[in-house]
Amino acid sequence: MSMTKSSVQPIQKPWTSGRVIRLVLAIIVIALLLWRLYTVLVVQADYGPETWVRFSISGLIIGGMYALIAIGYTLVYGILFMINFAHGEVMMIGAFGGYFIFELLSSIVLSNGQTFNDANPALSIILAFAAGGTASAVAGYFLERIAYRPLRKAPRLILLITAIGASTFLQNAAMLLFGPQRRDYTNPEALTRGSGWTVVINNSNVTLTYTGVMSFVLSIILMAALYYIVQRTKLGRAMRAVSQDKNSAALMGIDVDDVISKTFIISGLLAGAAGVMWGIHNGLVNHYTGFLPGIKAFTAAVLGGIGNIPGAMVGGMVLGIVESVGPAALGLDFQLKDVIAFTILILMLLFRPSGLLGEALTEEKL
Amino acid sequence: MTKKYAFYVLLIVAVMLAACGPAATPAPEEPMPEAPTQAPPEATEAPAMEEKASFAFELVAEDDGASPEGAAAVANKLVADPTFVAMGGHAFSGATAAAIPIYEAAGIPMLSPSATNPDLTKSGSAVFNRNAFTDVEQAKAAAEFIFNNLGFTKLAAMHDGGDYGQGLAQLVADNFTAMGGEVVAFEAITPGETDYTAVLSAVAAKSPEVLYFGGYNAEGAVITNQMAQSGLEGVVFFGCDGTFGADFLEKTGANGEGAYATTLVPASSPEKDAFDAAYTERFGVAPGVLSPYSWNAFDAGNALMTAVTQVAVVSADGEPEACASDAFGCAVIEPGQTIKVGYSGPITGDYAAFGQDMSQAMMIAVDAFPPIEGEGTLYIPRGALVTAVRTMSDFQGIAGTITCQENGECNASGPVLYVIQDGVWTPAAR
Amino acid sequence: MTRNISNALHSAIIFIVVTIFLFLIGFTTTGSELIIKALSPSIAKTSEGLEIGFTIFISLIGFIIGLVASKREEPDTLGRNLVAGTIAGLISGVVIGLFGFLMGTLIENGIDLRGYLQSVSPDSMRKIVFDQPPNIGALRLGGIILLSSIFGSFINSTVIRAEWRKSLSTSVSESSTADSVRKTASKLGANQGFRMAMMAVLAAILIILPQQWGSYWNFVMGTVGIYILLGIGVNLIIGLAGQLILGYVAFFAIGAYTFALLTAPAPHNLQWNFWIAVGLAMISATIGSLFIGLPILNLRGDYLAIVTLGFGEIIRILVKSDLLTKFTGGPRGVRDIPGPTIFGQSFSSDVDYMYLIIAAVVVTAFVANRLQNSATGRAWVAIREDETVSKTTGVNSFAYKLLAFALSAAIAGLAGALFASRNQFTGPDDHVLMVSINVLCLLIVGGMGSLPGILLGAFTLKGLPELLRELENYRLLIFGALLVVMMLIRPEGLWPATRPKLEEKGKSIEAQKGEPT
Repeated sequence: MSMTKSSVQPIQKPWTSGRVIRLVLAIIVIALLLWRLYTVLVVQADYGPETWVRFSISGLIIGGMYALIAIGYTLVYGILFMINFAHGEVMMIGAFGGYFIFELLSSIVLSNGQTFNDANPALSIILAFAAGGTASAVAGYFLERIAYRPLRKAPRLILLITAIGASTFLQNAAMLLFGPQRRDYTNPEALTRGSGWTVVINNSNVTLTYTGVMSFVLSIILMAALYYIVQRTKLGRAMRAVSQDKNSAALMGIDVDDVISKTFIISGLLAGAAGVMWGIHNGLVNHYTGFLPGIKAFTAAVLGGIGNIPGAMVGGMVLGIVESVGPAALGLDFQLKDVIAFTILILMLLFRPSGLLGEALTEEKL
Repeated sequence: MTKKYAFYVLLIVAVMLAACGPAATPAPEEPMPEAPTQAPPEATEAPAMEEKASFAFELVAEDDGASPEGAAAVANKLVADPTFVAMGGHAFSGATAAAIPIYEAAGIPMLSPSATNPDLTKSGSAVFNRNAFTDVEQAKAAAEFIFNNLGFTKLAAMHDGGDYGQGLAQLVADNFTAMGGEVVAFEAITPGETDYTAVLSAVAAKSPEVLYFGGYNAEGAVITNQMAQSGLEGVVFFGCDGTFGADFLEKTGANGEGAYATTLVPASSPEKDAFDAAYTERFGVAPGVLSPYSWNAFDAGNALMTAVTQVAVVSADGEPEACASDAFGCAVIEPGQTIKVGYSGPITGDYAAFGQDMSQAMMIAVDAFPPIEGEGTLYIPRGALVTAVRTMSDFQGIAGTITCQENGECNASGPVLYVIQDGVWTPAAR
Repeated sequence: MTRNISNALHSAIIFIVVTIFLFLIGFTTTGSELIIKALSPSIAKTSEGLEIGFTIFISLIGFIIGLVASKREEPDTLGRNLVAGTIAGLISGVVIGLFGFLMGTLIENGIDLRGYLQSVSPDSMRKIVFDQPPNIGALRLGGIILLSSIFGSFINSTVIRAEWRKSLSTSVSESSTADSVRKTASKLGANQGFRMAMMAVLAAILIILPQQWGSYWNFVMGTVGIYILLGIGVNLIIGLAGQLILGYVAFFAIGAYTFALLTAPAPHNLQWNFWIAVGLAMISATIGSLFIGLPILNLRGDYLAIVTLGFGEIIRILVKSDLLTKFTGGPRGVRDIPGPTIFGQSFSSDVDYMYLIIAAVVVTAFVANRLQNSATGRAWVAIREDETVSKTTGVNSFAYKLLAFALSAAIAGLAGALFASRNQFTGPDDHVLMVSINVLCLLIVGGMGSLPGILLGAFTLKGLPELLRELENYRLLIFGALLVVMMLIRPEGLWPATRPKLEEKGKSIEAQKGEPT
């Protein structure tokens, strides 16, 4: 047995033009990268260690939010094989949910003259996240029921267009309901933007903002919870089964429509949480808030390997870090950070066509 | 399954029917045939000719999405309407540039409250005017103030990547260098993101003394909030007319203390207070919240309508002399029709707040403006109107005096610098 | 009876939500205004005019509630239909009436909701109870809904369902009017003489129309024409070769910028000839497509989509970046692009451009059509149907994909050049992601792979928003909803290709996961 096995010649991959070009490209890119890194870090050395730490903090905070939204794309993709283009808008609705809770709570004045918001920061934050998550989950649920479910058997491109239509609709509905101006999130006093713990690095104060730390920690907790649900619970098992094979899952007694609904609810919850974080951290929300993070998170999901949940988490974090560290490391303008992010995405897909952690998709899935 | 499907389809179709059905039916640009029925009893009593007609103004607010393509569509649509006489826009410079040639060909005077790009008046257009001050003026004032009054020599310039912000930041940087200052960083942000600390940290590493930002209120507020945590403690935030506004205070709180901005928002006057009250009453927000250009837009609308009143001729017996000699002929307004004044800006999309704000301010101006009275038909010589707007002088608006120069720059008041002291905007001492 | 109630309840709940939503976005006021403007413009601005408009608006909603509630009553008798309509009308009347009562009471106490819900003006809150005390107004509101709902179910039973019954008995197939038009058209299309006649008529229309309909329609239709070009281009790679591209705008941008920089007085003052610049725009777009296509066309499905999307964004960001501002004009774009000349004559009025665009569309459509029916076209379709199988039968799939990609990029370059030239301007805001998405939408909405479909799709995508202009800030909301509705009603597109498309069946998710074909 072993003899025959070893005697088989390993199949030589043909040197197709695409492969040659890719190899040449890779060498050029790596050489360029090394040269840039060398000039920036050693020759110019513009940035001290405190600046690099600041870049990384910024990256982790944004990365956490991207990851939460990206999970939504990935969950839906894993089950329906569709790009849920309206997911960014679902997040925007969650941001508004949190906004209204904070407005409500800060309008309640307690006997000691403080607002409810300032007096019970922990409770208000929990309420805001609950409201934001619920708003997004409801939005996600109805989105699926009204716009996607009737098209279960349609080709995937049709679903993509429906999602684009739904995205336009939701965006404009929010504009008409709440007005076009950016609304100011009323954080509890404990979470005042810009305040935080200070660490001294290289004689300079590096601030870990409360809002940033809270966003990051919460996104990690939510991701862990999601991972637990998907891997350990009955619902998670059903979700995985449906994403593997809908017909067989149905034969095993799984209510496929119900699982899909729940998937949309879970991805809505995560997006809503990200929306509230967005509002708390940056302070401003309007109807357009969801568009940019939507596109970014989609990129993150693909970067990590779309359909793969840990991939979305890693992809989100990597994207966040690349955006905040990349331009400085390459000595480019920060305006070009999206160019760097997309270039890295393209290059990565050339060598790992299914994303960082994605398994190679079979033909039928594509 | 199919039943449910049909049900939802019906539901949405029903909404559409309710929404679109009536909208599709009117033929909007037709002169309304029912107009004579307006006052049938009077018409039978007295001959129509002797009736005193009243020609009211009407605002046509259009959505150009702030894009050049949308602006050209809007302009082409508006100039096709024979009763359209003047344009109080467009809002954004890129859109305005695309629309100017179309109005130029039709003889429609423009007076933009917010298109500040210096190039717009350089191309020698006869129709384009603005009561916004140009970026050149603003940049010069800002750079001089930073260098001479504040005594800073190291400036970081930032912008939002748009043509307004980028142009302004570039001009400030150029002026500042010419004066002998040093521009240590020139960076751009992407509007709508949540965290700018990375780019701010990079700027901080160059240790500037002042950070100039060309862009709008929202991003300005986020940057102000995130400056201290990025190592820019004690660095002065210097904004522009785009970042000025009441809600900047609200959005930045204590972080905003000491921030500068330019503006032409007037000191309180009875007219301004009356406008503020009317605006708040009608739209539920104070002027200046949605965009800093509310007052400018109100003035632009009033100035245009005043110019129309100056050149308009009401005549009961045929076309007056002025029409025959006019290069563009006359706009002919029959009794029962309205005089259309346009506005165009982004009413939907990311910058919707700007477009909606200015159209609302203009709506207040247009609705309050007294109609032109007279017997017969109203004639507005278009060429004369273009000239009237271009030669306007000493028009007292609530946001300053409008006196148009030969190139179409009509802002005679110039930028005023404001600084936040103890949580309120106060004029900065020179 | 329970079915009765559940049906009625279902429709009542949905319409309650819809009505309240319409109120909250301020559409009750705008809708009433539009209605009364259409019926009697003279009283449009008066207060009683608005009241009449609002009454009609509300009764319309009630009417639809009744219609929908009784739509599926079985057995289909007048009595049952009426019962359903009454129940639905009663429930929604009570709830909407209560909502009106709430609004009326709030405004009586001087509470202004606009701080949070910007479209709910005090005026509209008074209008919803007809400027009357809340209790009387609410009663009137609920009453109108109840009555019109009963009327709706009556009409449904006596008129609409009677028609349905008739039509159902005659044909079982779900042929719609569009389908039958299409079938008739294709039948007639086979007739050579008829085709020639149609061509002549069409040509005459295309020559006469641009002179007649004024600069506004020339502009709108010019934009539609440019999107038809883009649609034809993207159809080669998405519709025929089956590769999902989301960054098509990149080539549009490359074309527009190449053209603009070569002809405009600033920033380089090259002032090249129009025709040479158009040619170079096409060539540079093609080069761009080879540059990005060579490494990535091996990717499949959504990975290809996101990579091309990224490429489009990269081009846009680079063009407006500080780095290249000196070279491309930065965020300000390129202005004062001169128009074309023919034999020394200026050829740049709106009518001339319309002709130019029509000519470009006709030529491109002809070439694309010939390609589609050639061996190359069949190879593309083979790749779309199953790339692996097509490879094994000897189709060099990579080369064919690259060819489709390059051709579609060249067409996009042409479209970009025409677009920049007609607008006399191009800037980064002309080349945003939404352009790619719109082009994809027009392809799907129109029906993939067919030229008439692309025409219809372009009219829908670029013409419809213009037609909806009357609706001001509601237009994009309604546009988004229409896009969803259109996909729900006609997922195959308005005018799908006549060629039998096996993958439509094979590629549905169920089938694709169930049995690998």
